[in-house]
Amino acid sequence: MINEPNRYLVIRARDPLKCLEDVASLYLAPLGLHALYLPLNVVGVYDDVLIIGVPRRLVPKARALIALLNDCHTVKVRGTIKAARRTAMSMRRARI
Amino acid sequence: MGSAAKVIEVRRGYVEWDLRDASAEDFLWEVGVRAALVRRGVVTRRIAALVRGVDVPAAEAVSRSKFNVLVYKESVKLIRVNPSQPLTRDQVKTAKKYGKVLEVPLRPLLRDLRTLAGWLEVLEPEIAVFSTPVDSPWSVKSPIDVENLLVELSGDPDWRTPIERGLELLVEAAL
Repeated sequence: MINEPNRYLVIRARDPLKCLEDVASLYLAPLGLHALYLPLNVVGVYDDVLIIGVPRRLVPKARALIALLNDCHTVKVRGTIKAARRTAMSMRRARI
Repeated sequence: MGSAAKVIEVRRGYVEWDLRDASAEDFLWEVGVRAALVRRGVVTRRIAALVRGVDVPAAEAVSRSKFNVLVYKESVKLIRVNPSQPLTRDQVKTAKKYGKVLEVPLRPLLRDLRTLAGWLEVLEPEIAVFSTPVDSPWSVKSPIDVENLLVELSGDPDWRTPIERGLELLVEAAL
């Protein structure tokens, strides 16, 4: 899982820091034992958009976890940090 | 060509989102929702709307015994069930036999995963539709997030069907 490519979840959240806190408190559930060596990979927060990196195999579990949280939802899953940032930027522009 | 049978083309999209506030439309569009079940009086610009009670004959079963009455009614196609009282497997089978679609409100069940798991055991994916009341932009849920949750909880990939095919089910109910 260490060398597995990451996927990046682009999440829209009313309060990204609160959302991040919720994800951090529950993230043991999707990661299981892998949580012992995989830290939560936070790429960045852009206004109300949050990007976190997840190993590809765990994307469905991570999305299931986000479904349980209030006030945030996954908008897109991207393959690279660059693409995820680009998506976040265009989402931010669309809101203005 | 006017007499040719009308072909309903079902586009990629999700319906089971119960739209109460039109200001959430952009967020719904962003997560891939292309059609929604809306309340009377809600006007949408981009999302195709099916109006509850007008396009889709719907009724609400507050209790199990009320459900037993509604399930035999010709005029009802969509039965909204009470999420806190899971039906029995026999009731679900009867609903399937009479061509009814069961609408299960999702939001209360997200706070009570035990009951949600109970529902997933008795329901049949082909006749179930999960609805999420969207009353503000921030109550939008991504259908794919929810789909993954249903699959993870039940361990059965068939639970993708209600999210992927919900639109077809409601179009059929509307005809």
